[in-house]
Amino acid sequence: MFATRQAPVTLTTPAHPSFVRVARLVCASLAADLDFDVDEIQDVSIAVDEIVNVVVQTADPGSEMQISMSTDGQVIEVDAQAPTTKLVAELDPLSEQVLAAVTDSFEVFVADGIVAVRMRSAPGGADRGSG
Amino acid sequence: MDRVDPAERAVLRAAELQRFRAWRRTGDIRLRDRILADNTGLAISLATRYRDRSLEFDDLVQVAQMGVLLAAERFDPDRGVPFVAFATPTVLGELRRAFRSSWSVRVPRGLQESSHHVGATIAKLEQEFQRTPTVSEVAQAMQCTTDDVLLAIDAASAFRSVSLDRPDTRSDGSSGPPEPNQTTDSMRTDDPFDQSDARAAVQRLLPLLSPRSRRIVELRFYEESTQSEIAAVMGMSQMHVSRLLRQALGLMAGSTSGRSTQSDRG
Repeated sequence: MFATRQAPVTLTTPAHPSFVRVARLVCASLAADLDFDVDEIQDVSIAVDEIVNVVVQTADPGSEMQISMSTDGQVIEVDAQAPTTKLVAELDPLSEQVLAAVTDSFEVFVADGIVAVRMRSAPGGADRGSG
Repeated sequence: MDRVDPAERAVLRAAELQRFRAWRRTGDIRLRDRILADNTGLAISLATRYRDRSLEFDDLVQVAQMGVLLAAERFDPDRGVPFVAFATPTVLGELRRAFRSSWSVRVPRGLQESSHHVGATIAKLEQEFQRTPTVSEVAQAMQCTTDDVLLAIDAASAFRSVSLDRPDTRSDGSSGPPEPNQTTDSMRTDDPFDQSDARAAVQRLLPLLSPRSRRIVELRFYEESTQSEIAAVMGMSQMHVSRLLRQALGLMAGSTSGRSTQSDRG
């Protein structure tokens, strides 16, 4: 079970949309290990889709992005980042609204030539069975 | 459809051209929405040509409406071409693109069948448990691995992504290095002003969606209902809600930022 793991899982991929699915599937797998239900896993997938898209759109062409996923056994945290020469992240209002709805919290920032998007998500169904 | 006599049609066209000019002049989004509403018949008529294929009719109408919007944004009312004639190729192009990127073309048949099977199993377990099942419960019921279930769920949802060939553009649409007057961006969800701006911006996009998709987006992103709760309210499966939600997001994203709405499944 991922819940017992301490180190984050980190993916390094080209900052390109074709790798969004890899990030989504890995994160969905981690959420499944934590016994998130199907709804919650879809929310995590939507969130990963959005944050990786923001990073891909803001990253310098040809750069690499790092997607790091960690958990304390209850909460999943995802951090995606890539180098950028832009000073403002490409976050459109739709992504912002979607992330606000499907995560517990998120933040987007550009600092020191890096665009970073972080999100945190916990299962809401406290009455779920042990699976 | 009722026949409109030529004189009446000329009056309607003149009114539409006036509306286009007023929209160009003022940027009033209500005029755009009125133009879209007036051309709902065009969208339905063109979507009907593709009926009985792999996509649901409501979804086709939604894609066609997006085509109408794209055409409206490019239409010049002073070039003497009726909007219907100008918009039709764009709408048909959007419909064909939807079929090209639909899962019926791109997802292997075995995975499609798995997705249907997973959807049915989720619905059955929801009934049985009176709650949303976990992935391991679905896998156990189907006697397969959790990875199989996750792949099937992922394939069943039309996730959106940026265009694979999207050019590097700045906020004003031009290419090149960042503007010197931009400042470091930091945005957090606890900023109520940011949230209300986003909310207002998304509200403006809702009229682009079919009534059913609009309701699903409202329930999920404004009333914060879960997909299973929405499925119960709308009388459809959770997997179907998931798919419609992703399609709606794709269409809305295409409108907010000029993003392509292609799937990133490959």
